[in-house]
Amino acid sequence: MAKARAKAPSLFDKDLLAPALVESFKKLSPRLVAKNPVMFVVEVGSVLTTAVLIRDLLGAASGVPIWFTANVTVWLWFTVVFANFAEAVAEGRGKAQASSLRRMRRDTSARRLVNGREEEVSASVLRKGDLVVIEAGQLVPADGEIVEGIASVDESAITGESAPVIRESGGDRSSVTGGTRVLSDRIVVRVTAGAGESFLDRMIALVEGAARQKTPNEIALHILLVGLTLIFLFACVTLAPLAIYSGVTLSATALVALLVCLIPTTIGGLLSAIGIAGMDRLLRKNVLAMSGRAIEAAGDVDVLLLDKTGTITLGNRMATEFLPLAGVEMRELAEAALAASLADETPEGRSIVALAREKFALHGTEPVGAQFVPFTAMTRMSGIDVGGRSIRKGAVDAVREHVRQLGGIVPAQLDEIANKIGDAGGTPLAVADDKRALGVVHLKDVVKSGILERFARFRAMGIRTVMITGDNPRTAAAIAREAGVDSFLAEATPEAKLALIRSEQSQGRLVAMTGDGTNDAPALAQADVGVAMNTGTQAAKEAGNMVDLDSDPTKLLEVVEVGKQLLMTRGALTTFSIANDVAKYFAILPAMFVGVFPEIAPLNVMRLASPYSAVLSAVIFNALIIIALIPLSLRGVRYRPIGAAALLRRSLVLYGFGGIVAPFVGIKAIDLVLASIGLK
Amino acid sequence: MRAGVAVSLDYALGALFSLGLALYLVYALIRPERF
Amino acid sequence: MTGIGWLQIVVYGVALAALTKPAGIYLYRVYEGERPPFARFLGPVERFFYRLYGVDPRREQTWSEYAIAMLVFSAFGVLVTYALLRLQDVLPANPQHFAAVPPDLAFNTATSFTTNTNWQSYSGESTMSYLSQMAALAWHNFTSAAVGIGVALAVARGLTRRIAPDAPRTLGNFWVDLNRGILYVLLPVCLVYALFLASQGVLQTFAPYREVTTLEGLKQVLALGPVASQEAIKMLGTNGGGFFNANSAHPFENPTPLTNFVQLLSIFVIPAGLTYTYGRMARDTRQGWAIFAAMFVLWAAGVATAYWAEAHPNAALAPVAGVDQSAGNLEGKEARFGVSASALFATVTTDASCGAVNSMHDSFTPLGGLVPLANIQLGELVFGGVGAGLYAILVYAVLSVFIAGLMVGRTPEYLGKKIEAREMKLAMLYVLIFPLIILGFAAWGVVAPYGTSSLANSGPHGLSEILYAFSSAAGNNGSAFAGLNANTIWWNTAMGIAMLAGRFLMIVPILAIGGSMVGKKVVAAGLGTFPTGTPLFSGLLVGVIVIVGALTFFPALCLGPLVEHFIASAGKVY
Repeated sequence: MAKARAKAPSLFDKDLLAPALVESFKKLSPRLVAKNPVMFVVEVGSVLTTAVLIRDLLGAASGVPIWFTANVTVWLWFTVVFANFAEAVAEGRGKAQASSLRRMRRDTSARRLVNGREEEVSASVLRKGDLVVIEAGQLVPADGEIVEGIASVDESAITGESAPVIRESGGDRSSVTGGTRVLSDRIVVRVTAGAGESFLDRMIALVEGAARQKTPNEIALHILLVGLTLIFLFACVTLAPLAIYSGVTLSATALVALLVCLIPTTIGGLLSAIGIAGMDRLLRKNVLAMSGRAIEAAGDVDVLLLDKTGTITLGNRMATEFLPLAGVEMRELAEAALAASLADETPEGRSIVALAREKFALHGTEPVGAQFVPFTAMTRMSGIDVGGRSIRKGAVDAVREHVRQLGGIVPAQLDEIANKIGDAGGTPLAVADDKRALGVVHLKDVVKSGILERFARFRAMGIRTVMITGDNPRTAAAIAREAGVDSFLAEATPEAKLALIRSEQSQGRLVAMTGDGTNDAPALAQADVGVAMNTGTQAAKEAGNMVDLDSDPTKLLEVVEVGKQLLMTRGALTTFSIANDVAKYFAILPAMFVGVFPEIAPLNVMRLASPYSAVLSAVIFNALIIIALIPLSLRGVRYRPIGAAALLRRSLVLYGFGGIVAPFVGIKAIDLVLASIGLK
Repeated sequence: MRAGVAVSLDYALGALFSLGLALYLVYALIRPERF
Repeated sequence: MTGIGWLQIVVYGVALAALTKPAGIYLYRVYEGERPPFARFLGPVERFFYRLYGVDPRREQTWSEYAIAMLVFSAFGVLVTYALLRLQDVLPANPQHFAAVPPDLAFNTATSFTTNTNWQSYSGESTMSYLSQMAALAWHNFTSAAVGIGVALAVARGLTRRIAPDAPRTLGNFWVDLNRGILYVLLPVCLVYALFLASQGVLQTFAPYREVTTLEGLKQVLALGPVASQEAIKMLGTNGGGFFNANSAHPFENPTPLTNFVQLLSIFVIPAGLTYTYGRMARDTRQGWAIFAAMFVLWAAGVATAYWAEAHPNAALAPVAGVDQSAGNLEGKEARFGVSASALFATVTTDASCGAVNSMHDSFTPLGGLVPLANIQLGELVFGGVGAGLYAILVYAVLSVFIAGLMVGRTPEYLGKKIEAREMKLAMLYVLIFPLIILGFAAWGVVAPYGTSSLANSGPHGLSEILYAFSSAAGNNGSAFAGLNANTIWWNTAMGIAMLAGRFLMIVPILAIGGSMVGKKVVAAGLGTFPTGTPLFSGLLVGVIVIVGALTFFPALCLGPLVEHFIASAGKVY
């Protein structure tokens, strides 16, 4: 598979950095920063210290060295710039993707059908419901559904998959996507999305971050961060009068520095970058989510409903075994089955040919004068007539009847074998040569390779898998066992699917489902996370809240991981941000009070060089940590399916304990550097 | 005397700024969907 | 520090843990059981009261109805008390002929007792008539405690109930909770408890004060009164308002080591029992024990620090000749109880928002005194006030679950119910109000002449006194760093407002959390769900409580007890 977009640009791509840098200064506009309360407080603080700096420069002696005020001011501004930079980098990566998408959306022209007559119009004027004609070599002007014709379509522009796909009217393969190219034939398409709301448009808006709405968890986190900011604002503002009482004069600069260091700037500055990067990561996996909300919901999924065919098993039954009746050579059975299948182009027929070749190295060539008897719903058999012999394969009862009519006797063993195969979830195919019943070919649903491991990973994540199939319960149970799904719904109708989803939901579970057919649409809409296959119908795509461009139903595994990573990254950085405050207190508070109360010097546990360098080091650390954590927030914290408690313990050690220790080391190091260049 | 006035002015300004920020943050707390 | 000293603390911890389950079961049966215990005797009484108020006990209330009933009842309590105090000179049972209580003091006292704070700006024995003590004050000891327990249960119901989507989102009936708390829990226990106290030598008399001749031949007036009855509910309801100014350091209130031990246990027994009740309500007692464990750890850390600090000589007294400090810092402590029992009492009374004292916290070493102060500033949730402790820690449980949920990559849920923006908003409001009251008023008090003029000490210790006073008020604790004359108009008013805000501005959001949680769909727990009935959760809860509390108050504490400690260690005194 040639996926041009699957490769992520390196975290700090040269082409992305320069525009991002420019962007991060542009984003200093208070109107933009005010959308982020934590960073807005930093910006207001920066303005305050800038005013103090200007006043000091104008000669009003405040008792605080100018180099200190100047440095704090600069680094406070840097704090805001760095946060903007993180966001700009994330957006830039999305934009890079979007622009490659946009190139395809160049204003194409369309041939609109009006009252049976074609007219040339710009794609941008197309409305929902319009009919357009597309011929080989032309770009599809808008998302739509084929109402007439069949065509091969190159969808590599969206999926990255270079092999063309077949699209035809009716059935589940009828949708076409704007921006893809028709390679052969002529189709008539009914437009399903007007200009600006097509698939591509939505995709571009999402990766650019323009259409980003806060997800529910993001809003809750926003509240936590704003609340903490308020608490620290109280703590810092009330410190001024408490200091007056104690005879300590606090400089405005130091107080602002304390406030900025305490409020959760690390997570506040990186929050939107994390969200944009999550959307971007998902797109790199070729999944298009309709909203951030859907990704978050994916992280919470408890139950996954999967169609059997095409997902768990290869689409077709395969011959796996020849089971001759007593007194029949297996080779004879194989030869007869092969002969009956030589002209059979169905997958079952071809699999019999392949099995015969594999087992007995038989290379049957069509005998001269042979006449192929095709399968019909009436006879339920197929085979050949050659030299007066009729060789047949087909449903057991049909073959039994056929043999009897020719005057042969069918041993009871045939039914025994057939039943055994049925119990194992397979389909028996009886073979007869004239009036001799020879035996049975075992046709089996073949489970896709690697599926067992995928399901094991779902289970480790705590997600239950349910297989949905039209098979009878016996067959379904056998396949479910083999594939390793947790349970199954047999003889499923669309209503039964919907009922299953509802019953799982009423027990408080979040249900994800993948589907492609139009009759999946109600279930996709009812599911909390509905992943429509890109090969599926427009109705299915509209009903779901994600579209998998690769049409790989187990892709949900990656979607779930991205959803979880998104929350985990936010949680980890929040914890880290708050844990950092401990060290910052030990840096700044002794520095503030040591002038009046020299006895508290032992509280300066880091032995920072001077009160000024202590405060400045904390501010610098606070700013640099944002830059240092940009890669982590773009990449996301790694998710491991090791259970919630173990995961939490790990994160607490890493980001909680690490968050307490890291700034002690960092601030001390910065202080050493400052002291060595004479700033103390 | 002038220094005293300047200091009081500082505190008054500081208090005003803080009050403004606090009101803004309270708004952000109760209407998070607007941010 | 001595082995006996540690042994007292350990025995206390063991006794508390042993009492938790039986107390919890009893409370569960009273509030949630089909038929409360002793229903044969108490049932008719209970029903009589419902008929009297015209309340249908089967009709449950939504969170807002519950909150309004609670507010109306409390407002009524404040007004009645205020009136009784203002009119005490013309009302009966005033053998000492005390004058009417002045308006500011009456307001302060009325709010203080209604909010379960029992901060006393006055000396009971020289201000309050017997009628005031019993009808205006002791009464609140019962009702304010019952209100607290009721609110905690309402919130717990909100978190634990599983109701049909179309069922009314109710949290119980305030009047039923109030009645049951008093009738089935507080009154019967206090009856037995008061008799026990009287048997140990606690006074219970209506006789006027008695003049006696001391051994030195001097005349002394001994204040008397119906002490035992108030003493029982003072501890059991975590009220803490002493009959005498010296509180449980007074031999008429707390005569023997046995009464001291029982008083200590009775402070924690209901708050601890409620954690078990909560576990029962959640249909998983581990949920309750996880909360209990977090509280227990915080208590143990506090008492160990306090005992360690107090067992050391007070650096400030070191330069004074002739003071033997080999037994630790005994200033302000009853020699009868010693360092260990005093440190234990100080920790327990401030962990729970009780506020009774058997030693003067003002005289603790700076670090020893930091423990009671920090305990209050954690939010009165280390067992906490009756009911108040449980609902306070549940807010922190919600916050912990939120952080944990993010870190394990799943929308946070507590007891199967999702924590969403609305709950976070309410939880943050709850967490915010507390430091706003304390730091706001303290900052005002330290720069205003009418604030500092009440201080007996200048310097960092004075700051600690002011911080302590407002922490105590906002936390509805009621204990005081003595050394502060709070009976001034500004102090009485400011403290009154702080107490009202610390009680009701916090109860309303927490009830709202209960109200918004009760109707939520219960999500089935899976492998990816973070379990909340485990030691890991207790640890996380402790971490969140300590970090939030420490980060909020560290700067202020730095200028108070911490500076004082370092200065005293350096040999300087203010």
